[in-house]
Amino acid sequence: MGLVGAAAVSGVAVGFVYGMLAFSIVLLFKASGIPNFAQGNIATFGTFIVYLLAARAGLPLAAAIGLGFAGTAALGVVIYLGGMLPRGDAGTLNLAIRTLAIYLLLFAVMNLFWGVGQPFAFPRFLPAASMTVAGVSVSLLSLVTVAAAVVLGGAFWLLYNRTATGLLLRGIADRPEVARLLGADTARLSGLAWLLAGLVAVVVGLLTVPTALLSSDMMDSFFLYAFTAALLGGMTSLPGAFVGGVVVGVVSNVVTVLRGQEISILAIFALLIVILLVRPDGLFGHGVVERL
Amino acid sequence: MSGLEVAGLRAAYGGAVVLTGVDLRVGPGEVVGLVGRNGAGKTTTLRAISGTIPRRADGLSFDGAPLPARPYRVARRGVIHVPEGRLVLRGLSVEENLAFGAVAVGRAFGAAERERALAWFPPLGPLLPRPAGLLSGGEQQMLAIARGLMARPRLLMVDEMSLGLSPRAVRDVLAAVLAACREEGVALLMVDQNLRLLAAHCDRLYVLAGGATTCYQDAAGRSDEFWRSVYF
Amino acid sequence: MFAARAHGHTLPFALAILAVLAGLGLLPIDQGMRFTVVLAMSWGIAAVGLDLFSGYLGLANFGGFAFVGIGAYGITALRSEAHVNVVVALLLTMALAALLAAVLGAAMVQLQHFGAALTTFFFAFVLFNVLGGNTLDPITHSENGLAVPPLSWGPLDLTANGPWLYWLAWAMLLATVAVTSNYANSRAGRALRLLKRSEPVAGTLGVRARLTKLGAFVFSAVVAAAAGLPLSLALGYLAPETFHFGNSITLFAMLVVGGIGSLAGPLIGALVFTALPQLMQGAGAAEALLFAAIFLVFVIALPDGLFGLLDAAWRRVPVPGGRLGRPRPLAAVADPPPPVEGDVLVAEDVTVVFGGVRALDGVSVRVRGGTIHALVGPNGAGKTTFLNCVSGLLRPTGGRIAVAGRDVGRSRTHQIRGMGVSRTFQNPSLVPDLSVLDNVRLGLYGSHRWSVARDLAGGWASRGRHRVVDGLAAAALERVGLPAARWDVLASELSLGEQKVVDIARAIAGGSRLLLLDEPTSGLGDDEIARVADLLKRLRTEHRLSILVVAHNVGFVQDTSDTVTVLDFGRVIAEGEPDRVIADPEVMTAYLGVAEAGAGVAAG
Repeated sequence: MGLVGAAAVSGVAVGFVYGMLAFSIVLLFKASGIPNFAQGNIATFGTFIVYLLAARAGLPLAAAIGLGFAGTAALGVVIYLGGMLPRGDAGTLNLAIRTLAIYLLLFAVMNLFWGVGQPFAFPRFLPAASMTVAGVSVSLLSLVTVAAAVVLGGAFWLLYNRTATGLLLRGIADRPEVARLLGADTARLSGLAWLLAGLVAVVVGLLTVPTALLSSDMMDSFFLYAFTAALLGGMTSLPGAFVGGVVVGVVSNVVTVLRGQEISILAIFALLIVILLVRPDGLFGHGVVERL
Repeated sequence: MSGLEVAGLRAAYGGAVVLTGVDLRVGPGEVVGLVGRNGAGKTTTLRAISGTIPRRADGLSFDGAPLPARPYRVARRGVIHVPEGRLVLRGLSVEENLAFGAVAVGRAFGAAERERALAWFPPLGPLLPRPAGLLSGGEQQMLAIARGLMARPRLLMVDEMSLGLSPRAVRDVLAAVLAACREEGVALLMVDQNLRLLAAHCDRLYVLAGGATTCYQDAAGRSDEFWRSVYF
Repeated sequence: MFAARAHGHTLPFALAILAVLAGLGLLPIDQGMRFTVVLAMSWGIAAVGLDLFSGYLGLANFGGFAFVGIGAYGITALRSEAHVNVVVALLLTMALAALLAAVLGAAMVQLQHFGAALTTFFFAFVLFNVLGGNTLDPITHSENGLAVPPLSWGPLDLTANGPWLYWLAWAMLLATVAVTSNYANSRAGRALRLLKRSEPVAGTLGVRARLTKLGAFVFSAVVAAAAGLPLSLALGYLAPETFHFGNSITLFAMLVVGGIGSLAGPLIGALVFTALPQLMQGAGAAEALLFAAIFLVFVIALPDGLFGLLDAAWRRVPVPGGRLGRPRPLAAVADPPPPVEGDVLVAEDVTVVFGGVRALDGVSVRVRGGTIHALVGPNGAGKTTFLNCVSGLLRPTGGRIAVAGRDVGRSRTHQIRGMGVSRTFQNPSLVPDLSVLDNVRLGLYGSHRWSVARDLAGGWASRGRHRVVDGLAAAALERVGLPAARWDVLASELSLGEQKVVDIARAIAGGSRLLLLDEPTSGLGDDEIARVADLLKRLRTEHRLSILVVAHNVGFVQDTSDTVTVLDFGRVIAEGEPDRVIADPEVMTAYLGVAEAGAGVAAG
């Protein structure tokens, strides 16, 4: 199959992880109109919580993961209540800058407790097996990633399109002022969106950690790629986030194999600029990005 | 049950003081109109009542209790403001828009509610699955009002219903709104530029000028000369 | 937060801080403190340059420190590898930064805030990886880092150990503050501040948005690159980690905490962020946590930053004789433009279609030179759309518009401004943090050819032109009847009536032959409306201006206008002399609406 082919296949898998992070970014953007620059660090933070509980406190992994979900969801709500809700009418740019401050804040906290960029080995929770599918070697992690993405995507699709809460979330994304006039408690709904984004973040972290060492800067490149993926898919399209993620994953992996990592980063950067200039709505979005 | 009572309402918009002392009253089941020149502050009045903009008043109450400051609370009290420009939720279908109106105030939305909405506004029937952003102006106006009615309000405030609609669409929408409100016992406060239309259908007309209101009881009986002198 | 006001004339504050720093430099402070302050001054240089872009123009830029990295590495590499003289290295590196900024900026200025934020942040990430990567390894030595060759200038030792580096950094900071202050308070700076307020309005005054934004971006990048010199000399050794992309956010945080849009504020921010760690001995990572927390708190609760607090306190102190004690220029009377014979505006069959809606449908309007023509109609009739077509903000789908015989269909806003068409807006869109006089000076933006370079050089290079501009602006304000006592007041403190009048002054300052007024009376009280009416009549009669005014107030129209066109649903339904038109029953119907015979209500 060749190196490029294998790179493309693993690019699809990592693309689903980018897609999931992008998904959580789009979720928040749809619900609140702000791009959350801290989403990557929330994922890392959540993963550190699981690590603490499992590797240091000795809890069984399943319990640690469960508590990690709870803790990160709570973190999302705390960030919303403490950082976003006060003076929430300050304008989308101000709110976006707050997420940058939170990015720095979480980074500093992780550096403080776990050292700057110091790597930790996360306990293995998946056997390092691989299978051969259609002549291509696919790792178990990749399969689990895709499965998780499908389950997550499906669950959210159900939430968004088949429940009252989902209807409310979609409505407040469309026109928050009108939603309020009709009686929707937008503050509570936004808090819910942040909670959900926190949950997704932990999943992303857990799926990243088998192939990368856990460190405070684990998600640095990740979240920029995820943003690119989200924009490519269209900042208002949840399934688009996955499509964008796969594209970014394949492009970056293939270019890395052909020309090395730096050129690969430049390629994604170029892709970002092209999207913003040529088609800011992305592939599936509809005219909302100008909001910011 | 005393309906909407507004006394001495004051509000500013865009840095300028717009309302200096608005008084109006909408009793249960009444149809009341608010007219005035462009820029007089009609929209500002509705925004102030629904809490979209900050306001002060000597008295601002609904059914005896003071109206809250935040729009979603005002809505849950039974006062629904249908803003100008229709503002349907574009990405949602017509049916989802209707459902939203009910769900936002915590009501259920099922077949019964859907049928009620369609009984008042039959043209929406074939449009149920269509994305709301693709409807015509008149259809969107019907949807915005139907959506507001899904919340089972006791007072419906409609802002500039006729703006951008053809005279025929205005006629159809107005007829449907009046029928629906009468049937449900919902009071109606309409703001519009179309003075003659409101004069013909309202129990009472308020004219907004200089930031304050004057009440005209027998609007339908007044002549064009009279209105010209008031307006111009 | 970017709506936060920018502050003009903050040079005294910045100079005061520089004086303090100079004093500090003369004291016998220890090596560690000296090093810290040099670092602070280097960050300060970059921060002040960035403030012009993010504070005055109001655009997000989270890649500022990347250009410092380009500067530091560029200068050092040229000096150590190519053995180039330090001054030449500095200039070459600044040129490189300008080039890179021009390329990146060309894309960036077309983006909205979110795109700009993400792009600049990604750029910082890209640079960090390039510095630590293999592609430029021969130049940067990637992760091994780059040693900075010691520098001496004659007998002066400019390494980190010597006292002279302090003075080099100080001198560069002084130069940066002076040049940036010139920029911010000049014609170019006013244009930036107007762009921040409203791009369409700026366009109608002749400002070329993309070019102006690009200029500001390149400026901030070049200044940041220059900051690389003192920084590299102080550090003695460059490693990629120093230019981690998070530092660009830290740089931005300095602006916010210090006070964005004030030049002095970012300087304070740089000092605070760098000096604080000295007070928290060995705190390490905790200090980063503290900064992030401070940053967050400021963004939420104190978006005007420390300078904003200072400024608020300062205003409480009553200053005798006004805050800005500049000499009042003599009001020169500008020659009125030659009156136009014949028709100054001919619009034929203008049609505008937006997504299925006919905002204008075959509208024809004719304005004779030296007359006042009113355009009236109910809300949504298309009046502002028509003005937008004439002023170049909107291209009509069909029809023809000619001003003084010249077709304007394909022209852009600044070109139409050049033809003598100026306009006001329903929402005056004055720059709230500029004085009345400064706002009116913007009306003269397109009148002369000028360059940013001359603005940067400062007042002494442009004194002659300043006098001309001041004179014309003052003349315009006198013509509209605003008392001189109000000329130094910030536009945010004006009443609505005063704002509308200043908007008109801005429109006529540069000399125009056709004035488009969009609802100059809406929101005004009766006596203010009367004053506007008088003004328009004077402009027409004494100054032979042609005026097309959109109005709702029928009395006003009857009082001022020679002719009227009535629009409804995008079509002309009547035109002619005011008295006759207003009595027209079709016009009555358009305004008062159509009643339905009987209250019969058929559902659908």
